[in-house]
Amino acid sequence: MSTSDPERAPLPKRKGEVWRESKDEAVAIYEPDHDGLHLLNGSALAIWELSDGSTSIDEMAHAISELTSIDMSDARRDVESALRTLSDLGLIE
Amino acid sequence: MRERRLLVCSDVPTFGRGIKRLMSGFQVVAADLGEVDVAGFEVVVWHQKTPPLNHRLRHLAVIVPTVAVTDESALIEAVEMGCRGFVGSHASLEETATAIATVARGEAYVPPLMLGSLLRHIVEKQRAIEATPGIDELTTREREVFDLASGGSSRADIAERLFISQGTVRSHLQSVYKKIGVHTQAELIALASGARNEHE
Repeated sequence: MSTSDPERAPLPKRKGEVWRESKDEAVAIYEPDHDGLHLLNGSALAIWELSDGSTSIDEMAHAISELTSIDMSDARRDVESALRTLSDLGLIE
Repeated sequence: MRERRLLVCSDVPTFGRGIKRLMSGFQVVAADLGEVDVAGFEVVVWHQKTPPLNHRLRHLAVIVPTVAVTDESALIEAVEMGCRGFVGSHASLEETATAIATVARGEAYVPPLMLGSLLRHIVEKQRAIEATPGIDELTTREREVFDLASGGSSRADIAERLFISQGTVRSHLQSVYKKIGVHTQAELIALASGARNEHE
């Protein structure tokens, strides 16, 4: 997933079938392609849930900025960082 | 360092005592809203059957639902009101204490596993507002005023949030009304709410 050009970047989409189970403040996500099980904290899980293939990075960042009152640029950086992590884990396309 | 003040409005006496035990560094006062001046507190914890209606609680309240509403709807209602913290109805006192400490630092607290559905709600709300006719014509400052006014903020609140005078807020509001095609803030709120409901 590339986010270098926001206008052209693909909208993040969480991958396929997953299996989840709440465990304390984390959720386990099963990624079948590589038979991987990953624990996500609340923030990462929220970004993963928002990655439905139709929600842009700016929309995610705007929502976080509105909720937390942090700057839009900071929110966008946080979203991009979370998406990179999720991409590395194979949990989004 | 000055001791921070925490107001606990609860129907349950043991709740206030439990919070008091956990919140070292806070002066905890258990009272009803009508008995004290909210302005003297850093955080107000609302733990009653009815939701708080007092707008002075905006940005300093932690809501702890006590009744059988879905936590998600209560969370969205609390955030729409501008409250900074929320914990679920089955939250432990420890999680409530974490929420209080977070709000006292000026940050927002939402149960981690509820964050996704809340952000989804905000995204859907923003999409509906973006579809409002005339919204594209607003300047950046007018849009900031629109966002606050459509959320129910008073002229004084908007002036304080944006560090501008109430006269400037009034001027921006007049321009917003003209571009959006409304005449009063009540119409603006209704329009924004209608857009949200229509989208939902």
